[in-house]
Amino acid sequence: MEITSELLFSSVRELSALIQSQKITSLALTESYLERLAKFGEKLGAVVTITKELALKQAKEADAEIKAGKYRGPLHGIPYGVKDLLATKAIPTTWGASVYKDQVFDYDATVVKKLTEAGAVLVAKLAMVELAGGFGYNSADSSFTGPGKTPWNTNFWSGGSSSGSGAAVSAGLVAFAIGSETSGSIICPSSFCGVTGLRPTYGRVSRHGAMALCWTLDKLGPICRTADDCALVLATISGQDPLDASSVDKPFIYNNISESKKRFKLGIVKNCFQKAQTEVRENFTASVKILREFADVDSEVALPDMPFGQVIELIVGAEGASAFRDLIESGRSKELRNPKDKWGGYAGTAVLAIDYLQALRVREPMKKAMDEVFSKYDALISPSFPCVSYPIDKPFEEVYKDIDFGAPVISADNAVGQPAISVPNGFGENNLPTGLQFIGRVWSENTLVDIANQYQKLTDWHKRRPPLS
Amino acid sequence: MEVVKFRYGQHIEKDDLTKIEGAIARNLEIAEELKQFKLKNSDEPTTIFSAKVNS
Repeated sequence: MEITSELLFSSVRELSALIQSQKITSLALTESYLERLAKFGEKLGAVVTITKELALKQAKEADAEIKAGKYRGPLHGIPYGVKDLLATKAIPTTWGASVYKDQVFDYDATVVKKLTEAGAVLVAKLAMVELAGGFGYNSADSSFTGPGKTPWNTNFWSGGSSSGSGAAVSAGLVAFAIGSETSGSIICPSSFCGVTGLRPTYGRVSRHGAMALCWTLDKLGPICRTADDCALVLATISGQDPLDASSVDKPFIYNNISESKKRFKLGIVKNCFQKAQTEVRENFTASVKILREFADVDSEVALPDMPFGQVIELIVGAEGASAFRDLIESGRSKELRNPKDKWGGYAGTAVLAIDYLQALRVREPMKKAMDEVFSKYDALISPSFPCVSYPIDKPFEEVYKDIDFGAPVISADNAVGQPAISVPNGFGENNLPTGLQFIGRVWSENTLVDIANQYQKLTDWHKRRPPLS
Repeated sequence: MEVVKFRYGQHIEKDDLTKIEGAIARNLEIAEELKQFKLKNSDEPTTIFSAKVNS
């Protein structure tokens, strides 16, 4: 079977069936993705390192095993990329910053190790906002590889901080990618690139070998074409790890109830879309109409009135400054790309211990209050982002001045470690994608995937292809 | 701000001092807001510590 560019936009599940039945080889598929990575990766600011040698080796091994009847599962032979904050043995891991461009670890991150064991093929280390945005960047030009561009319109940003993970999936450069989120870094690029991203419950996936920005907030998760693919990847990378004390013994086992007959109960987060961009509002309203086909949807579900955004801001400042203390003390943060990142780390060094601890203490009552609201629903919904992507050449604060985030959905969920999945739900100005997110109680990823699966069965936004040439 | 200047002053561009001062002021504002959140003596910070030694 010929590997066409069309085929490279297939879901992991579709590719996996072709590989398992030996209609295509992992090697041919890998070579095609490598070719596409070389053609579009740099143009989109999506790639740091193409791991060609390793990829070809892993692909050949996968083919040999499959031929010998040793099929490992749905990721066997599937080419993927990881955000360049995951350690990969003997391959540079740059954390998106020129200061670390020659950094090489002698081990693989747990997530990479698990994917290797599943037989997946690593084709690229993907671009990201330097230090995952911990020093407060305020424009798209914040990676040493240049601004990440959304494949839908390259004058606009691919989102952050998992910029390359979003763009590479969207542009068909990889079959799936791994991103990370401290507060918004999976949901934002998924929305801006028109792909599906799953932020797991805090502790679901080991962060061993991942760059630390905030120990109490960082999560790793999949960015894919479909919710079903996200579940396949999450099932592979989740699980407790003695090397990450925050990881919990709650491996994700995908229920995959493809013919779910359940009628879900959803709630619209109060004040989540009224002041969003016109098209974001319209697309959200249209999505709700579709969701009502298989769910009861309550409107106006208020999140607890608590200082979620402030908690995130203070913790990111303090933990980020601590995680990068060496960089700050060396004076080399001035070598970072984004003007704000050059000085942004210093303020975090002055957060008092008593204030940092207050922010951590507040999170426990926050968890209880949020869970009380979420316990009444299978999921709450909101636009993933109140606007489409930002232009690559302007500070964020200079555009979309009339939109308002409304309810602090992303900061609230991240403060309490809840999971969310973002799916594409239409287009807005400048042919840029918009997203819809489902947020649930902790450990409710199966329910979120189930709802998102149902939504994607009734829509085709996740099947649209960007106009790349 | 004086602590930041004392510790890192040699690395900081003069133009950036005002920006850093503004960011510190913002953190203090946040701290004041979080202080309004009433906590019990027993409300522990959400840190993870384990006495187990990992290899």
